[in-house]
Amino acid sequence: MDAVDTTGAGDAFVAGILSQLAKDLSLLQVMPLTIRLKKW
Amino acid sequence: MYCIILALCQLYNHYKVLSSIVLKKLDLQLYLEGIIFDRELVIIMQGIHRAGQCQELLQIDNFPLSDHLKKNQFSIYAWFPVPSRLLLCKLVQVMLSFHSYAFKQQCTLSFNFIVHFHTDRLLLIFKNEDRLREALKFANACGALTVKERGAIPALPTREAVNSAIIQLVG
Repeated sequence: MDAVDTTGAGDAFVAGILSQLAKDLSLLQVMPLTIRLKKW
Repeated sequence: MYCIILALCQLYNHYKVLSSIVLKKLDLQLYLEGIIFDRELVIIMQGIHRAGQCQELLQIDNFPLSDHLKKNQFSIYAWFPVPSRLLLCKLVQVMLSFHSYAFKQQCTLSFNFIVHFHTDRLLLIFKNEDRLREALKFANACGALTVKERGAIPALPTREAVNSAIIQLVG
């Protein structure tokens, strides 16, 4: 990918993360203990 | 592990609280306390927010215990009959492997067998990693598409552009 102007790239990254978080709040939640222990 | 607990049990007397594991986090507190009887073993878990799931996991039966523990409304009483002592040993091993693997912080092992964990990095393990990767992939595509055009705000891509770019480039 050819970089033309890097202005705002970091902002776009943060915006992308925030939009995904807003879409699915379960990213911020703690996984249930059952699933956690099953993974171990 | 169990042998140590059993030896301590013989040293003390019966019906004494011998072992407890405290896992502390900001919003997640998991407190395990083991009481050893003659032929069976009792675990008390306190302060667990997802009580129902723990009950389901550990096949907890209601078990009458001392009054100071009943005062805590979050208390869960787990009763392990003799054949499933291995389950407890496994649980303790898991707890200890948490310590050795994830965090190298304070761990105090006192005379009455109290292990104290401060878990700051536990959050990384508990997250749903697949979903997190997906979100990061989306954010990376956002940043990459912004670089392709001049300016900051005009170069910000739409959601459709990002999704099509992900499909195109990453697959």
